[in-house]
Order: sequence, then structure tokens, then C-alpha cells
Amino acid sequence: MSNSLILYQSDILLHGRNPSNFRKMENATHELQGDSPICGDHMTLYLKVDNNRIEDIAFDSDACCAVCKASSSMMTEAIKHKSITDADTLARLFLNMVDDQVLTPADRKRLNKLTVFGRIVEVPSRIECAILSWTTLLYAIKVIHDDSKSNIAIEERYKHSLKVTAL
Amino acid sequence: MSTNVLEKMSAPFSTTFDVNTIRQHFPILSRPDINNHKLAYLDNAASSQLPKAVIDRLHQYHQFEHSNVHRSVHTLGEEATNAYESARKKVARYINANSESEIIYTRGTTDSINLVMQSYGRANLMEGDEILITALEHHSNIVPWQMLCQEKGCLLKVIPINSSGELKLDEFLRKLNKKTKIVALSQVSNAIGSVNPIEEMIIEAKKYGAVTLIDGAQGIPHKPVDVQSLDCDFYAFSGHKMYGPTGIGILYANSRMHDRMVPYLGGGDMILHVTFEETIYNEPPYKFEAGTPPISAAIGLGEAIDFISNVGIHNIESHEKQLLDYAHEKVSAINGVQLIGTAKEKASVMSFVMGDIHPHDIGSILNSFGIAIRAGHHCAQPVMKFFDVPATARASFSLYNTFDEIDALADGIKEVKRVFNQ
Repeated sequence: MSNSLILYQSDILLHGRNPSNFRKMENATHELQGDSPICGDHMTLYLKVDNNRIEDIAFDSDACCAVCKASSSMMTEAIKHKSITDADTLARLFLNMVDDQVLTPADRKRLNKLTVFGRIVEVPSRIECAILSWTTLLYAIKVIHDDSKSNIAIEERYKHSLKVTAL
Repeated sequence: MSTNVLEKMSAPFSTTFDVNTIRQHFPILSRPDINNHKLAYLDNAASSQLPKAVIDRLHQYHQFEHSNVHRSVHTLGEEATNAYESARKKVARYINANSESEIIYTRGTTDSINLVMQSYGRANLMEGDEILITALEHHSNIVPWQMLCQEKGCLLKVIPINSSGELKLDEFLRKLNKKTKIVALSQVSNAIGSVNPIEEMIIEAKKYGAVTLIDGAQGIPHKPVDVQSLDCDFYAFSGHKMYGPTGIGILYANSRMHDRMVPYLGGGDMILHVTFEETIYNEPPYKFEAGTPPISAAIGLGEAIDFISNVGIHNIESHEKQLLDYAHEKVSAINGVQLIGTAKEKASVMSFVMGDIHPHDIGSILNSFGIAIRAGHHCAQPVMKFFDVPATARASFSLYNTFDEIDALADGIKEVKRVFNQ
């Protein structure tokens, strides 16, 4: 198969066309805008956090491609009702995966359906689209924790591709 | 220089335009391996490909002729200087400049426009002055003027477009006034291909004494340009969109402007005499060309101009018009595809959207069939905003494109629809 078409298989296409949790949220505790100056994608991430748990999550966008929508959609499904710590771990695993780092079987199990994005390394021009929601999430976690130390490394790596505004 | 290289460089062209013969001049077009498909390169508005004559000329220069220009008394220095200056002559002749001193080498169109802003704009504009641009401009013909307005307290005014992507000329005439000091216009819109009536607009701008700058980046690769007949003050363009190398551009600056322009960058080559107390500047164009220039790229641009002259710009224009008409017909016939930009006069560029399928996805799927198009805002976000789209997919055609490639594009678009089940 031609390599760009791998993006438009199974879950990615499904979520790209019918994203989950794709809505505005009225009573969010955190609302962040994520912009990727490189690919032009733009999204708003809504979180409702209570007692360090993500009670609700949604995203909204009028300018995202299918890859970005799918990645955001699957992210919201994966971290809804999870603790902030678990969401943080998953975000780092996801970013490691699209950075083509070797994953342990345990990591792969944790990522579960999200491993479908592993092959995006074959289409480097679309990586920015896949990571926008995850880097926006990491920024949200940083805001929540106000603990910059734990997030510095990953943010430096992806800073060039992200502009986040907390509302 | 060895004679066989000379012979190869001046290989005769047939007088009738034959696209298959043309394609043989571009080695990259025979790549069969783009995701297991033959390359269909439809991203010429971003950058065009290089003919073998240009590639060979660059190679020849680097292999046998390289030296710095203007300074060395040795043979290589003289040869490099001659080749570099003869490229300037070619540019001057090609756009019918009155003198080579009007041809300033830059890094590209962006650099050329910034040169005018820094060198003419900062020295001449004052608070309350107005700069007039169009709603079709590339960011490179917007941002420099915003910077100038911020610094000087000038006002940036914009000529709007209608729903076809044509300039509203009545609004242009209404916005022109005695405070209008600079009118900066693109000849052809990079985002949607509209050809602007720059001839008439220059005449009108001059009635108010405004200085005129034409962004010709998307114009000169597709249309004949005669700066004396246009009578513009500045004309900016890039080498790499007209079959030349990257890193070289031209600012044509009419000699009547020279005394009103201060130097752009300070350094070597732009001076006649330097002491710590005082510097006497060199004559134009050198006054505006500090530092060692992109010598090989300039020579390559000269070669690209020879190539265009050999093919004939009128042949290029007419072939590209046929391609664009065919593409419009073929692609607009596909259900669910909407053309963005349907001006009566267009050149080379076809922008389109497909419902809620994002142009990035269109671009990726077309790429899987070897078709190279551009997806995004094309550095013209105000144009996107006007048409209320985040981005468009853009196919842009060149002299080496074929009707078969447009058929492939149309098939690819149908495949995009199939993937998204629309």
C-alpha cells in the first residue's frame, strides 16, 4: 500500500469522520487553545477535572484534518475518567511512539488502540497533526499541576509545533 | 569551459511547443517511485523544477569556475564576475529594464519587498501616509508594510475582492488619494490564481504620485513582463519559481527611485570607500547588495531565463492556459468539489475544497498516487478568511505538465471521495 494511505485505514478514518467527544463544553474547569503553526491545525481542548481525575473531556475544532480529529477523538476516549497521572503517562508514551522510539510490550498494551498511530512515522509530514491534541493535553496538565519541572523535556521537544493559550 | 558543455547548453528547441520534448529537459519528472507511482508535480506555485541546462550550468560553475566576484584579479575571479554580471544583463534584457543598474540581486521575492520597505519606505514615509495593498496578497506583501506602518504611524489600506476572487477596482479608485504613498500589488494571486489588472492600476496610482511595487513572484513564470511598458517603480520576483535555483531573487528598481533609497544592508561590495568617520556608498545596484552574493544561483537564474526564452514565454502561457481550462472543467465536474477563485483572468493556479474533508487529507491521499499538490493557507490567510475556509488544496501548473496528469489528479480526487465515503 502507498504509505500515505495507511493514515486512512480503520480507526483513524472512523474517528476522523465521526469523532467522539467532539463538542464544546460549558462547565469546563480548563479550556486551552492548541495551534500548530506548522500544519495550520487549530483546536480547543476542554477538561473537567475533579480531585485529580478527568471527569469529562471534549474537543472542538473548525480547522482540523482527519488525522488530527482522529487523534484527538481517540485521546479523549483513552483518558476520560482517568487520573491526571495516568493521562500524563499516556501522553508521554504516545509522543515517544510517534517519535519512533522502541516501546515495551507493556507500553504497547497501555496504548492499546492508539498504536494505530505508530505508523505515522512513515508519513513525517503528518506527525504534527497527530500530536496536537496530546501536546495541548500536556500543557493542560502542566497548568493543572503548576509543576513545570516534570514537563520540561517533552515541551522543549515539541515547542516548535505548538502554541497554547489557556483561557 | 569545455565545448561539449556549451553544446549541451545551447541544444536547439523545436519551434513548435511539444510537452514531451519539454519534459525531457527536466530529469526529476521521470521519477517513477513516488509511492510506487509516477510523479505528477502540480506544486509549481510553491517552487518549479530545474531543467537540465540549469542543473548543468550550476555543476559547471561549481566544478570549474567558482570564485568570489568583484574583488579578485585572478582568472577565476574574472570568470565568476563575468558570469554573474552577464546573468544580470540577461535579467535586465528579459524584463526590458532600461539599465542593468536597475536589477538588484536579492534572496527572493520576500527579500525584494523587504528591501523596498527598508530602503525606500523607512526613508520616505511619514505619519499619516497610506499604503495600499490588495486582499489577495501573500504574507510577504502584507507583513513588511504592517511593520512599516507600526514604525512610522502609516495606515495600511486593503483593496477588497469579490466572490470570484477579482479585485474591486471601484474600491481601489475610492481608496486612492494624495496620502497614498505606496501601492503594492501582486500580479497573480499565489493562493487562487487571479490575474490582477496591474497595468491600469499602475496608471491610476501614478495619478496620485504613489510609488508602485509589483509582486511578480507568480507573474513572471507565466506571463511576459516588460517593466518599461508597465512603468512600475519596483518589480519583485524569485528565481526558483521560474526554473532557477532557490536563494536568488530580483528587485527591479527603476533608476528614478535610486536616489530616494538608502542602503539596505551595510557591508562589503556596497561601498566605494570606508573610513571610521565616513563611508561613501557604491553606485546602484551594488549599493543594495552587501556581502558575498549567491553567485551560482544568480548564474543559474540567467540560465533559466535562457531556457524560458528558448521555449518562448508565449508558448508557456498558452500551454498553461489550456491546462488550467482543462483542469477547471475536469475537477469542477466532480460532485462535491468547489473551486476557490474563479476570476475571469487566471494563471496557473487552481485552488479547491471538498466539503468537510480537510485539504491536508486531500494532499496526503493524492500523494499516495504520486500527485504533488499544496494543502494549506498558502501564506495568504486573509484570502482563506474571505472565502471562509481554513485552507485549500492547490494544484498549480507549469510548462511541463500534461493533460494526463490532470486526469490523474481528477482520479485522485475521486479516490479521496471514496476514502471518505462521500
